[in-house]
Amino acid sequence: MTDGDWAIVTKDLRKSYRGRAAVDGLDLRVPAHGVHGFLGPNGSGKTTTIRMLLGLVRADSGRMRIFGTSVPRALPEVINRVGAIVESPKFFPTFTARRNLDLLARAIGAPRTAVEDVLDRTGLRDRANEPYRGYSLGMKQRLAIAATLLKSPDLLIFDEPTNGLDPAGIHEIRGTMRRLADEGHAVLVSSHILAEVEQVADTVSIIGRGRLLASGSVAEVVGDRSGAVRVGIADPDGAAQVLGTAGLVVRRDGEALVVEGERDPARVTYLLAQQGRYVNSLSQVGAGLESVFLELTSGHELGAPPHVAPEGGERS
Amino acid sequence: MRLLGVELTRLRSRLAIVLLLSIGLASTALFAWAAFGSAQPMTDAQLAEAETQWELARQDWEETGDEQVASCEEAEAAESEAAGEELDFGCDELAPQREWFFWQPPPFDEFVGAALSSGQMILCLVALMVGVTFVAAEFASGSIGTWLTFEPRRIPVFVSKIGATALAGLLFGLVWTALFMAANAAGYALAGSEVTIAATQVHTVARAAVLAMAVAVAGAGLAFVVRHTAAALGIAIGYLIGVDMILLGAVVPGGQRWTLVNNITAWITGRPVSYYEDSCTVEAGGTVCDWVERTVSMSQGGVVTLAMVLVVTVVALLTFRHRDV
Ligand SMILES: Nc1ncnc2c1ncn2[C@@H]1O[C@H](COP(=O)(O)OP(=O)(O)OP(=O)(O)O)[C@@H](O)[C@H]1O
Ligand SMILES: [Mg+2]
Repeated sequence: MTDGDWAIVTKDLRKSYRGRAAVDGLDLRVPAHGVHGFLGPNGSGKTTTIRMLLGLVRADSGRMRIFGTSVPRALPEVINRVGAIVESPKFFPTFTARRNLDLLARAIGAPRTAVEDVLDRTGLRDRANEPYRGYSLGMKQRLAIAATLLKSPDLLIFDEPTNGLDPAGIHEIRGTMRRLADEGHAVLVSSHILAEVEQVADTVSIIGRGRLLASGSVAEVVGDRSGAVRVGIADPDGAAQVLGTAGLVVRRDGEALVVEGERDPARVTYLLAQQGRYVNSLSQVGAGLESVFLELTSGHELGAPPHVAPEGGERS
Repeated sequence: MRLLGVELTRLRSRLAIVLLLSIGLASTALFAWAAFGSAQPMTDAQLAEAETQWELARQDWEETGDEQVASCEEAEAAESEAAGEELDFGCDELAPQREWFFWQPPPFDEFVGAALSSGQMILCLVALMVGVTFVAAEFASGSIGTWLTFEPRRIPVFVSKIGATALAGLLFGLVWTALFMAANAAGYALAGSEVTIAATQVHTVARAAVLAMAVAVAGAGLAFVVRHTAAALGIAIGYLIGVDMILLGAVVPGGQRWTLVNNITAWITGRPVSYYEDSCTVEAGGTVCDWVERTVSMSQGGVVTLAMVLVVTVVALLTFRHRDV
């Protein structure tokens, strides 16, 4: 595939703030169709990446393309194909929703009817003449979506769109994203909450400390790491050594051990029994996106020590 | 062009700005009151009193005039000898004159010029605040970020916002100064004094409009740099006090030539603004210092004001073009 077949491609993208890397050599690929989840813990650089793509923040180095167009250099050529909500909806507080949309529509030369159209589509028409300042969070979010739809974009970027919404609001946003993707748009949705994305995303990228940790379809990302086995045992450190010597990837989880990528629990018990060690409990860990996410991003939270292994978590 | 239109709509839709402009325009009415007070001719009682005083002074002069002149000339001669040069005590101007006792309102033209040099404070303050809040509020609310995702070209965004501010400032300056003139004329007319409309007043209106435009643009420029209404106003006021009043006004020798206040006043009133400078020369007998009157001309005022606004605008553009939003 060429870069033009992707909605977004970044190569070795970097940005640091006062010497601290926020985005640290990120290679991101977002397909031109479907919902792509952009996942990472707080402070992992999701918002910074999105800001750089939109030309709000300058990258220190690296390349970015949106639908094959190099940005930010040629951003004006492609901006009308991109609708974005960064962090939270931001409109002028004393203007009505309609006035806010009207100004934006005029910026891109959209017809007046476009404003009424998107107000209808987001169910805001009845309250379009109220000042934005008085809107509830859910209404603000809807207005932000309305604004992105003014452009009839091919790519929608939603940065943590469900922040602060109630379950009904979350459900609604999720439905909107799914519908937009089904209509043929590419949707990039960032989140640090897995469950939110797992249900709606077709593909995901997981980042930590500004780097790509894993990406692919949800099935691929989860499948790669299915079959972790959780072992309860009297002397976990000694047991970890035994299993490690046998070439298994083991990490401590409290008083228990988690053996990564091992599909056969019997092999674990066999190896341990050979050394006279007997397991107290044994369970297969569910390989949802959640556990993959936690595994990948452990050590990538804010303030954690620098991490070297690009994929697969710590080896012990 | 399209962007300029959008920015003008944005400006018109801002309640705070409309309010500021209205208050600014309404404030001109106060000047009618001041003009009315200054243009009052003397009342009959005051006239009678003045007549008596004038009569008394004349009589006194007739009796003691020669003596006064003589003692004045004597002192003049003595002092001249002591100083070693010819001094002038003005002994031949001692005789009382009638107009010393009968006050007359200043000619309208002159009065309006003087009133404008204080009234310009309001004009400039409103223009500055409009420029600052127009831009800063968008940074504060973050809506500038949303705007840039619709129009990412920073320079057109900057130019359209500055352009809308400039137009608003120009229009405000025109209307404000015209109303200011009208208010003063009304005050004069109500007081029964003569109002003369001259071409110079039309020029004044034009210059004031240009000034308001420049100040509004400077305000918008400041807001692009510091992105916060209070901070931008603080910097403007800080400059006036710290640099204009203290540094240039009192510390730096000859600095008064470059103060904003002097330059703006010269520009708006169309008259040279004078200030005094210490000029010292070392002579045989020691250092001799003198107050020398110097002036800031109208054209210098215009050039200096324009230059400052240009500097602020260029800095603002460079900042906005490169900085993260
Ligand atoms: N303007 C800024 N100045 C200084 N540091 C910044 C700035 N913006 C982001 N950072 C830092 O860059 C890192 C990445 O931040 P970013 O907002 O991109 O994370 P995120 O993945 O969006 O996190 P979250 O899930 O909390 O929204 C953080 O360490 C943050 O502190
Ligand atoms: Mg974020």
